[in-house]
Amino acid sequence: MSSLRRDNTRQPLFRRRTAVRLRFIMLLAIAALLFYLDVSGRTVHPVRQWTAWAMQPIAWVASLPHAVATLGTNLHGRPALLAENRELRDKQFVLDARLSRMQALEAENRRLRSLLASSTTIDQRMLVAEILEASQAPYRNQILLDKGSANDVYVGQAVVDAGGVLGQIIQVHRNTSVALLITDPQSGIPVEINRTGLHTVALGRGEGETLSLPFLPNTADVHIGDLLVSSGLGGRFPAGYPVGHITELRHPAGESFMEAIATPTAQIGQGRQVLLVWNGEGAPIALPKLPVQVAPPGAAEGKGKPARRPRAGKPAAAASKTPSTPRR
Amino acid sequence: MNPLRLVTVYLCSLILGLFLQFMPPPGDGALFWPSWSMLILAAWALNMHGPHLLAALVLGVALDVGFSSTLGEHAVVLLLTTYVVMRAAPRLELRAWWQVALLLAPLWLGGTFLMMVFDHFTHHEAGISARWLPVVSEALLWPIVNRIVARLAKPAYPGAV
Repeated sequence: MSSLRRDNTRQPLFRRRTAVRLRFIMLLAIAALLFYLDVSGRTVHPVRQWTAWAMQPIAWVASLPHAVATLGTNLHGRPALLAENRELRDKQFVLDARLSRMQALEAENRRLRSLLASSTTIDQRMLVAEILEASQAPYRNQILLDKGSANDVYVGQAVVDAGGVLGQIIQVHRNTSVALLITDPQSGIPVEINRTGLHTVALGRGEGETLSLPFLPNTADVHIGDLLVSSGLGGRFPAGYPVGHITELRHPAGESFMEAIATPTAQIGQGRQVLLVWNGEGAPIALPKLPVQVAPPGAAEGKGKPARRPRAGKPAAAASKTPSTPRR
Repeated sequence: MNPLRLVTVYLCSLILGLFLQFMPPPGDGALFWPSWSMLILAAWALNMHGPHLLAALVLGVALDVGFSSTLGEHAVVLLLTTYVVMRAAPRLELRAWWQVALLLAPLWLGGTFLMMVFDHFTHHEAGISARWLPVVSEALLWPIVNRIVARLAKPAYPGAV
């Protein structure tokens, strides 16, 4: 049977193979061209944007199992909600008290800065974004957000949560964007130790959601428990946001440097919402100072022309690094 | 199965492959999660003539966008592996399923190696185990995937390749 089949199809098979080979070479050339253009930094953003748009339903369905799996944790009984509500009210009182003090300090700070002729401000435009999907790959720390270029989100924009800095935007599509978390091995964030003001860079380690501060001088005044805050150097991340706490100090034998390990203050891998922060220096356009706003679902479609964005490229804060590549 | 229905089944299977690839299990299970698109494309290429190369390019670009990797990486690997399966199909169809699985495993290893080369080139190195372990599960899953695809393709194309 099979020999008969081969006999009957020998001649067409030859022609088909030639056509297949030609088609293969052409498609391979297209794929190689895309790779070359993307690696060399040329603009393939439209290809990415349109493909991402076409894949939105697939991404949504693919995120359903995770949403269903976490459904149970989102459902609480009434007593638990009442208790949580009471606790939150108590906490709000405390925070209000602290806030009033902060406002006084802010006013004082503004007066002092005006005396120093400094232009740095504390007010920043923010936007609440929902986490649509978190990368499940073990070597990948990325999240997909429901805000994109329609909301003026730009590449390099800082992402924070209630605890501190969470990461930065590395890709922007029309209605979604991808953020690289600070724990990703390809991430680096300029920080300073809050107690001493020592400047350094916190690199993501990927493993165990911790940060590494390599090449600290052995004599550096660093203690376990020290708070790291973003230094604002490089203009990518806004200054003054908590980044992590030092949890371990390593002194390699024979080395003149030590390494500090820090745990992020941001709730990485938890929660459903994050804040997108418009940094005055990093933002692509001059934006008015607005209070925190929550865009209603679908507001993205209602907006007009997206604001001018910088060319998609490597984040400045990770100048020598680019986002790692998850696969499979 | 009529041609229109077969085309629908073909497209649905490719989309299903994308779904599965974007839904790795949490924890260490993700390390073994196979490249479903590569598996399904290989099974179709072995059992039926069709626009597998075009599908490989489209799926590859979709995977690159979905995984935020450099555009073209997955596309090149999928194109190469699919093309090799298409060329080897006349010889593979005469062999037992376990022999085919053993013969395809080196091909997938080659694809994985190529992916690692791309990783190195674009400075996106990932863990070694995260690269190689899926090949094991791909070889183990191959008989099931191939059997399903063969049953879908056989009625319309009794004399495959």
